[in-house]
Amino acid sequence: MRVATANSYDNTISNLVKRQGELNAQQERISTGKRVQRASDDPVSAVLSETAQNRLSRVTADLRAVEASRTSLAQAESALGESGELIQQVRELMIAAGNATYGPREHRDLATQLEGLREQMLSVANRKDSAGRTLFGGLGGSSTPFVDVYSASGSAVSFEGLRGQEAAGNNSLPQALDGEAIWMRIPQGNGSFTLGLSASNTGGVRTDVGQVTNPSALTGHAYSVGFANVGGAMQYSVTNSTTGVPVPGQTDLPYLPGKAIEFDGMSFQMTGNPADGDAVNVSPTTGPTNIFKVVQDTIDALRATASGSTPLTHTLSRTLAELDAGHDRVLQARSQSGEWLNRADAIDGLLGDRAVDYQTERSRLEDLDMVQGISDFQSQQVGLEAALKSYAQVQRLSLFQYVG
Amino acid sequence: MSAALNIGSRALNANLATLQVIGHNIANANTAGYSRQSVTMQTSGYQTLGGNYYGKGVEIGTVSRTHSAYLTREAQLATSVAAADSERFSRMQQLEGLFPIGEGGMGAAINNMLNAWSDVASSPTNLSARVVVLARAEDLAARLRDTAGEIDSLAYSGRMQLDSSVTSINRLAQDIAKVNQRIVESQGTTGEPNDLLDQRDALLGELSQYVQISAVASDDGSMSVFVAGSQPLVLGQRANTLATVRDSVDPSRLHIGFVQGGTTQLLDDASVGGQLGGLLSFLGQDLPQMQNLLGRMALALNTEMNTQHRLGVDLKGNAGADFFVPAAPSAGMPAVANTGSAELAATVSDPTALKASDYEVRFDALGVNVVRLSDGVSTAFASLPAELDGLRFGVTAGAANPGDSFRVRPFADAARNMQVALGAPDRLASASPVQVTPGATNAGGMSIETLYAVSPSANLTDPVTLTFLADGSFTATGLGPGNPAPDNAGPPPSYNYTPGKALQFNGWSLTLRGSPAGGDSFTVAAAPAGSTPQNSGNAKAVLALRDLATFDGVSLADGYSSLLSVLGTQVQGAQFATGYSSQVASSADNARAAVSGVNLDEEAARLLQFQQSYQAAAKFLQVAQSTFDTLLQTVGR
Repeated sequence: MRVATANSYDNTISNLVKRQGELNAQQERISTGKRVQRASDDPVSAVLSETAQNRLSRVTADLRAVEASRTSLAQAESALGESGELIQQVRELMIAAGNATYGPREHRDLATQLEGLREQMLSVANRKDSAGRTLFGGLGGSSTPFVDVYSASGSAVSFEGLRGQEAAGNNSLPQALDGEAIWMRIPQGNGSFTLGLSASNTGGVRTDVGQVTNPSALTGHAYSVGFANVGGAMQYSVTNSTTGVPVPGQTDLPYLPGKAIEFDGMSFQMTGNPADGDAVNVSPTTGPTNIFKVVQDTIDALRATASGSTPLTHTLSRTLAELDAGHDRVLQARSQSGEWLNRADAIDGLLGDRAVDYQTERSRLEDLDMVQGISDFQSQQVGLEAALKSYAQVQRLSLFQYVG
Repeated sequence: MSAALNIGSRALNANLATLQVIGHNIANANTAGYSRQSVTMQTSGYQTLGGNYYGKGVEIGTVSRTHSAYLTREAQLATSVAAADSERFSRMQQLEGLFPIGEGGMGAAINNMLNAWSDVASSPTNLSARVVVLARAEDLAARLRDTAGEIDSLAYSGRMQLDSSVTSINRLAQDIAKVNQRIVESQGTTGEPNDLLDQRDALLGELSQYVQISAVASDDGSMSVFVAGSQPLVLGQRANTLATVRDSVDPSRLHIGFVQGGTTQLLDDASVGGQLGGLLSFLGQDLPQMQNLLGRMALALNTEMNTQHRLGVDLKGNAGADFFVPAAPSAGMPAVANTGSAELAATVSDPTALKASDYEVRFDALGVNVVRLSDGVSTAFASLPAELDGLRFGVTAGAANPGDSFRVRPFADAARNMQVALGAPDRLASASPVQVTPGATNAGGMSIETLYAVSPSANLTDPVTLTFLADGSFTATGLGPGNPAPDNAGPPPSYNYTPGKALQFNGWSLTLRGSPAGGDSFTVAAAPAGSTPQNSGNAKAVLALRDLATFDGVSLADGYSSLLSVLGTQVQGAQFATGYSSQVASSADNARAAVSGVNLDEEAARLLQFQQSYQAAAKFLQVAQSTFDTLLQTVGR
């Protein structure tokens, strides 16, 4: 084949330029460490890597959300711990109130202390996280979920948050607990019925909180236990006040203090000395009470006792039982939040691993394999050198060299 | 005796002339388009003397150029194709530069904006998290506007180049016509005007760079040049001109027109070829396609964000406003020939069904045809307004006559006009307008994952109570019209429940987790005033938009990667095409050069050859002279 000199020079030069361009591109890849720098370098890798990056940024956002939840949950957990301690203190004061040697002054004093504790419990329940979100507002609602409402019949706390527990998602956690379920849903008495003393009682009879012995025999009716002094011996009779019919087998029985009486699936103990005409009322529970009301009831009973009224022990035995049930709820919520905190660690680890996976994927898709890259660079370098050398050699090969 | 002298001087002349041609070859070894010339020698005839024939020596036949018309034409054609591909490729590379990948890309900007809502969902009362959302949205909108602006300036510089290319083509056509004239004038002499022919070939080669031509030689030696198949750009000694012509419908588009005798005829974009053709296909196809893809992304994002944001409630308890400035309806561009008075516009009706294409609306006697220009699919409607591909086409004023047509570019301005409408962080509607309350006696361990509004229903805030039955399905009371029919006939009619799956009624979406107990109930009703600061339902709804299948099934968050896949494969395709066609062009040029090019070694050899011939001829002359001298001396004595 004929070779046109100018054309061969042109071709050699364009080849040299091309090789230099390739070397330059390879050098750019090595210096940036990226194999894919534009979408056209490898469209499939570029698109997959773009998707991995989107996932990565979402995982980062999820991690931040979990971190926020964890902070809130940790604060809620410690608030619940505080609430538990406050309940313990209330409990101690209640036990102390049962001390028979205490007089009106001590009772008033205890009532004041309990009032302070109740205030503290309320403020713990209304606590917010660092960003201003309520810790115990449930699904939302007011920014002060527990509101103390004062009225003629005394103060009562109402829940202004939004009842309901936010769910823990696949890799998200709730940020707030349902305060209503923690503090506002304590079963009255033993949860099935309450025992009350008739207001007109003149004797000193009192009861424990009672218990359910046979749930299937419960009627849900109200009863009244009436005392009568028959010939110097105290007798009692149980009447179903809903139907007005005396309970069979529970009429005119001798009263023995401390002996359990049992009917229609219920059982309770009566102690103390009733007077003739006194009565103990058994009523089915109407709805849950709340921890603040329990404390308030105790305070009211203490104040009433201080001003001369009697049934303090009876009230204390009920409020103590209710307080313990309330404490259980707090402990339950605390263990739940502890479990969520554990889960936060697990999710943290999971999302962290996932982030690493996405980063690895991106790197695999668009990063340069350095060994490969440098070896390519070397061979391209050798190629360019060879091209330059042969160019220099060939351009000396001219017949004119030998002519003349 | 004088015959011998004549032979010697003829040989000297002939060899000198050949040496001159070799010198010309050597001198022009590096001249572009030069074809090497060679001398044909022939004997000068004979004379008879005494019955014998005596040769009279040598003389020059012709000086001709070594040239293959076929290879030259091949090289010109290959040059045209290579120029078209390389022009398109280099423009595509510029375009690709506007769509970076990775952290600096627009995909990251979209995801940053959407993910920023996660912090708002975590702490709806935190104003700085809200400010971050607005800042990210601002950044995204600016990025979209900027990219759209850069695309515009690419289009502008392309149009400028189109103009200057047309000017160059017209100049070259004039030059070719002039060279034709000189070649025609030189006809009639023995030799060929080699250098003029080379000059014309070079001009034709240069013209092939700009536009694809076919050259036809005529008997008088002139060469006629045709563009776009059959338009005579140069006819003998007369040149016509090309001109850029604005599209009659869309003035931002340019076409090439052929001007002859005062009338302009529009050339088909695809038939032009060369650099001009590459530029036209970039300006007419690649650029609008990317513009549409970008615009679709902006428009879908704009519409979806606005719809969801308007369904929320802001920090002050007001209904959400527009998040981005809503896109204006895209006005249809009427064809010049329209006889009716209609004005047409398209608005987005379903942002998840959009196709990145321009449309043409054609009215005929039977109704309306809406043609998707990207694939030419035509859909017939009886009348407007009509919905197609998530767009609603409607006549805004006047009436159309059959035969009228409009071009609609719904995505052309979407990215350019992207603006964040919200100014204050407390206007961010992160709260849901509805709230759910579990029944007071719920016994099952059910908890609530999310509740937010998903569509603007008139019954959105009507109280609805879901009550679970013992078998795990639930009944719903208080539902408005347009809700799905119960899954189980009952009685009572009930819906099936799957934990973690959204329940959608009355325009809201509720996701419950856990297993229900019979009698558990949930009531969805309007959220009371004052509860919004603690509510982040709508922020979660915005986060859910990330997975909404929007771009032909690709989620909103991954929309940019679907754009990149189109761009990447097209640039890669252009790269392959230009690599291939430049290879073809270079081998065609090599083949041409192998025949026509000067090889200096060859010339050196010929130089020696003819130098020796010259020397031999001189020697012969010397011999002849000395013979003559000897004779004269002998005679003179």
